Amino acid sequence: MSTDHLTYEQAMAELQTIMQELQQEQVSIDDLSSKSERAQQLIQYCQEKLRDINLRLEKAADKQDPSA
Amino acid sequence: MSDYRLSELNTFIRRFVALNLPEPVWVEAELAEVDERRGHYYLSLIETAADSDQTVARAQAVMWDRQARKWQRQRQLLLHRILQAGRAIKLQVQVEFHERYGISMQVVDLDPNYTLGLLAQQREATLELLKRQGLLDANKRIPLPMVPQRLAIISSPVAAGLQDFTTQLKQNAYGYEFRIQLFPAAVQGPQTSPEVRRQLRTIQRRAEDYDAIVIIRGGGAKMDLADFDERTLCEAAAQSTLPIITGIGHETDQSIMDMLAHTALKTPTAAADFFIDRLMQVDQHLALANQQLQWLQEQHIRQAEQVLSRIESSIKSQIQQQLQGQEWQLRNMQQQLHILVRNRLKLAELALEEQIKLHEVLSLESHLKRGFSVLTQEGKIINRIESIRKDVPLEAQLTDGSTELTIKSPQKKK
Repeated sequence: MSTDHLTYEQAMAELQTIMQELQQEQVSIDDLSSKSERAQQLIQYCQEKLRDINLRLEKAADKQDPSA
Repeated sequence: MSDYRLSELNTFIRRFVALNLPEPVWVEAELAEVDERRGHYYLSLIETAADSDQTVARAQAVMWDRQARKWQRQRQLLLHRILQAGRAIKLQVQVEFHERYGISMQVVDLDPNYTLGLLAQQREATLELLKRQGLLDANKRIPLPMVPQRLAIISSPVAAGLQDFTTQLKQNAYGYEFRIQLFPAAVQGPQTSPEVRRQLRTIQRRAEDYDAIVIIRGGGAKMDLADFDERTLCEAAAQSTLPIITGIGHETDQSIMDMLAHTALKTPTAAADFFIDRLMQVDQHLALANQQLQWLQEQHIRQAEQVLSRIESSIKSQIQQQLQGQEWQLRNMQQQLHILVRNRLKLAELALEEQIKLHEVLSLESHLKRGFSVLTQEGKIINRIESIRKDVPLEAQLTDGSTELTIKSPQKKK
């Protein structure tokens, strides 16, 4: 399953669902590996998004205040 | 008495006059007309009845140029000041009769104090009257517009002062524009009062078209102020609803017109400067206001910028906080994910182990090993007393085979 077209919120929502399922032990052992991988993928995706936003904010600040 | 020939009659009259009026005599009269030609003053004298305007006496008199020059030199006074139509005068005349030219009166002296005294009295009376009527400061109370640009000028088209006034206005250094309309009137002599009054009435009818009335007369000390002391003129001017500005051109004294005017200036040029200065003041106020406005605008912009920058930094920190929060949450989730997955696996393993153990425990084999056996009757497992039938063989299964058992008396546990 790809994360290409997910928004941050969608990714986060999916992630939270998986975590909840794990917490409530609703995940079957057969699915455990795939769910874990998916969760890892979503976490990475969200982290990348956050890094990207951080980068953009820094660039914008530099543009506005070249002395900084 | 025999008939005279004309020459005889005239000779008689000449002798009669010369005999009866050998010396110059003083005479009081009103000047109806003054005509100055080549230094000679030709005077029309009249006397009007005290109770009506009817003329009761009339005569011509002349002051020759030599006499006029001598008089002016001795008295240090210009004849103009005294000899004006409408004035009461006291003059000393030599009356002569000439057979060919008729009667003549040569002025040998003139009493200026008589005329000036009367004028002063009249002036006092007029002032008193205006004061009583509250007219002396009526015009001063009329507000002059802040930017007076539409001016009704009362002056004589030939007056030098008018030229000074208009030139000064038009050539003002600031480029202010004035709309000037001339209302021609005599500004000296006996026609001054009726003509100026007529123009005041004309202007009054269109008062809303003008900001002020300007009365202008070319100057110098030789001009007489008495024309603008005249009672009916002053009364009319005092009742104008437009402010009156005077530039009557007298350096030292003020006419009553000057006193009652909204603003009195000494010269026409000064009157023009008055208007220019007034506009300039407004201009300066506006420039100042403009500066203040700009300053205030800049102030506002600066404040708005400060507010914006505060908002900006607060947004930045909020975003940072949110991002950090998210990052923290993600890290947390990641750790949790590992734990959960490991736990889940562990649980599954434990469950499996349990199953295995249970299986071991429950498996038939192990039971048999431990000494348990399974009883059957015709292939059916027997685990209750009630299930046992007496006449059917019972079979017991052991780890290494089975054996038939016989039942004597099956007993239920108590």
